[in-house]
Amino acid sequence: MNEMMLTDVLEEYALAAPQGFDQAIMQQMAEKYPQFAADLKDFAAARAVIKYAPEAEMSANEDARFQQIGMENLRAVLSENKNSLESLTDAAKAKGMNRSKFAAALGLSVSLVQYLEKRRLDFATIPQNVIAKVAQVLETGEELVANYLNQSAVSPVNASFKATERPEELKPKSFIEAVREDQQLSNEEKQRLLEM
Amino acid sequence: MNARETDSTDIKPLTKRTRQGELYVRRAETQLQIEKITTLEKPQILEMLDGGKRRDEADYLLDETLVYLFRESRRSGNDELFNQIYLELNRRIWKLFLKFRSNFKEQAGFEDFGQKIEMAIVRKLIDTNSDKADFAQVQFGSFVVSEAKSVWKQNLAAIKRDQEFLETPRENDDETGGNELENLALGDISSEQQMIIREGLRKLSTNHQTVAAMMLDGFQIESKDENELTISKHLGVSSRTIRNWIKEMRLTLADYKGETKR
Repeated sequence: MNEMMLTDVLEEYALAAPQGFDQAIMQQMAEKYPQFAADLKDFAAARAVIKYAPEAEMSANEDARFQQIGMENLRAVLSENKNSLESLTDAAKAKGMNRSKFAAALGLSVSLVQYLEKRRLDFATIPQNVIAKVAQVLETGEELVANYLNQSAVSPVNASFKATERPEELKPKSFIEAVREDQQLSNEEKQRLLEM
Repeated sequence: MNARETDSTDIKPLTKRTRQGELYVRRAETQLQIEKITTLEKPQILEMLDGGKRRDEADYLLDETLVYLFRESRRSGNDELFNQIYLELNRRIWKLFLKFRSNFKEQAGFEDFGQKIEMAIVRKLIDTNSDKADFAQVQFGSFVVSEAKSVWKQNLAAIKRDQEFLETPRENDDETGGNELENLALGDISSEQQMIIREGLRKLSTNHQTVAAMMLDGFQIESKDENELTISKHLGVSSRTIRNWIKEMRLTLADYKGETKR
């Protein structure tokens, strides 16, 4: 499990304790997800603040300012969705990350990043958490990353070649298969990815 | 979206499931309001989007209903409704953010916090091909907090640190309870008293508000069980400090109750 699942864990707590703080559920969940225990506790306390702290009066200036920020945010997100990603690694490069750094930020190996880049993984088998993590690292929308990964493979078939015969089209691999075959990941890293 | 184009049977169900496999479910109040609103014409919906309405007013659109309408207007390409709903949602989101403003020394820091979290929220809300925003239609406030927790790594429920304020012993400093707010922590306060306290929270300082909010939500001040999450543990102050604050709150609220009786 990686940090991308934090919101799922917080949602699980909130759904189990819809009325407010519940120590028994908190304890149960903190034991189940020790890596998120601190976040869970602050989430529970912050929910109390959201629910009971009085609504602050918003001045006209503040209202206008927050409206301006809000519209900028909406435009930025809509524009992310209009643009399409040409390459994951190019997008990472634009953020100052080479392939190794990009892979490290994703918690993947360089070869898995290559699989993603070349769209050589069966899209249906790529865990949502991986898509979400790529979007987070590239600071873009998950929809955009999913659209990129869900296109046909960038394979040698589309590349220029000197041989007289076209190379055979490679079948996409499943994410699990690619992780199992990976030579760079440790067993623990593989296990973590396989559990996604 | 022309609301009349959809009848209640067309209301998009939530599809996200918990890790135990149970579908997310909207609150009955939300579901009923969505069913009602989808029978209305666009001008009627736009009229209901009056940002000046109070939560307790009739026809106040629930946050979760707004999320549903926002996503449906996006799906159907109804730009006017989409933009109007967004303006209202944006206002409500920032009102929630304002509850954490005291965590920031500078306004710029607060705006940076809000901007980052709102981007994450909007990305999920407009992604109509996924179920990532389903939780926003179940518990919108918790959805906002959850996004805030995934983006902002620091504690949200925090107190303003003022060493002198936290550490100076007060006069009449004792450990005995027995006042209204401490009873509240024990869960035996009347609903009328709760209402007075909730209304009176506005009169309290932000640190006091945080403590009172946690008490109202069911947190204990302290516990002999070291695994129990308590107010003093979460806020990192002694239970003695919390009790001092409660005394101060009691005085403030006593004045408030006096005011309301006059």
